[in-house]
Amino acid sequence: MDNIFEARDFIEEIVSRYETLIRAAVRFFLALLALSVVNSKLGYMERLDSTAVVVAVSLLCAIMPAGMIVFFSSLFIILHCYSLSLEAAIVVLAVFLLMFLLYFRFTPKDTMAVLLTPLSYVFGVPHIMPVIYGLKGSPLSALSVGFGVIAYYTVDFVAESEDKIKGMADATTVERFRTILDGVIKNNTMVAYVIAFAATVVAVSVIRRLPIAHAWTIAIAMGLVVDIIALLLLSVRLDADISVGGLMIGALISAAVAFLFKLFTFSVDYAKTERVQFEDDEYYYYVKAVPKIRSHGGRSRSRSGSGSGSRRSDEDL
Amino acid sequence: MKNSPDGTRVMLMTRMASFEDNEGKEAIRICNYFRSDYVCLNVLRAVVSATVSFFLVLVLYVYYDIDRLLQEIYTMDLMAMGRKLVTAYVIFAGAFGIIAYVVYSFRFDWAKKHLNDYNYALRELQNIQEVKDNG
Repeated sequence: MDNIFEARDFIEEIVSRYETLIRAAVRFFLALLALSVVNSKLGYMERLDSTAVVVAVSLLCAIMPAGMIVFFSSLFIILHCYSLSLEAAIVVLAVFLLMFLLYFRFTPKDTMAVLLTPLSYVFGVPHIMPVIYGLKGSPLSALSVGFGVIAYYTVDFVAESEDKIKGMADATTVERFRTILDGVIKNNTMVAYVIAFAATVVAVSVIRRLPIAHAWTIAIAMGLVVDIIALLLLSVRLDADISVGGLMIGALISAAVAFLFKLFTFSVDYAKTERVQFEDDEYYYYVKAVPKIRSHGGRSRSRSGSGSGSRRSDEDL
Repeated sequence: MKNSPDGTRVMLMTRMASFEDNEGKEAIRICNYFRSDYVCLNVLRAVVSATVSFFLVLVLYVYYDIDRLLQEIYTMDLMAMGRKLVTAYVIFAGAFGIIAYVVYSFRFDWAKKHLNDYNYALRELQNIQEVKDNG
């Protein structure tokens, strides 16, 4: 256990020291991962399905706000769908537009759920998302995760139906549009996951706020129990395609990841080092405010009053 | 340094600069408006979003069911359908507007509270400066 704490302290120190660089690197790799997954799953437009384009856009994302990763991923998806069929692009564009207009416009910070939830599906640990959003968000995050599930199944349907859509060359535009929209909307597995994940987010979020010992641990465990029960009931009720074995294994892996995540994220405050700049009548101030860090015997951090300041007069500049 | 007037002044200025760089940006932007203006503007934007979404769904629905609609258009009670659509739109946009009203009222109160704390620190800084200048 001591090794874990040491690793945590080490990561904490590194994050604190190179915060700006690490943020840019995380954005770059997240964009690279998201765009590569989109290209491997869809990849109908040859111009976009190139390493150079993916790396260039990822580099751009590294220096821009995190929301741009979602924007570029959505753009890639829509353009790939357009290459496959205009109707598929219209349906996907409509789904994304509705998500933005009805929800993410109000909670731009939660937009990453649309990216991270589909990625968690790709890596086989979708059950982790409602648990993490329940821990770090509010019960309203159920909507964010729900929209992430819808985004995943929309793209998944288009990818799985490639042959079917291409085979409808002789069909009318309306018939193609109807087939795609039916496939996206009338997907019982998606509905089951949306409801189960929403219930999980609410359960985790409520339990972790309770004034009880080990609230976070209980929240993770109970959240996964709610997730499993809800999915089992819904798979019977909606006749959804959910594998019980896969569900159990996925939940177990998610539990392990959730506890690791809790250890590294929720047990500590990765309060970032802040560099602020201001001036008064006599000086320019360039202050680096470093969060107080104590070793894990009695961990606590505080940002207040811990500034390690330096000031320079006009002549020094 | 910490307990000296200069130390307190630097700490106050650091905290204020940190606030201005982080959550303060949003709080200052919000508090540039009067409460009623800020809430009304955002409710209006929400209603516009709801309107665009409603018509987007309507267009998708009409296109999806266009064959049936074209066949039945002459036998349909268009007035009754129009009334239904208007009612559905008013309920949808109204509900969205009410939610936006609650959310943005809450956000304005949050920003106001943070900005009050900021102003309090500003006054404290002014007092320290006055003591320093006079003495």
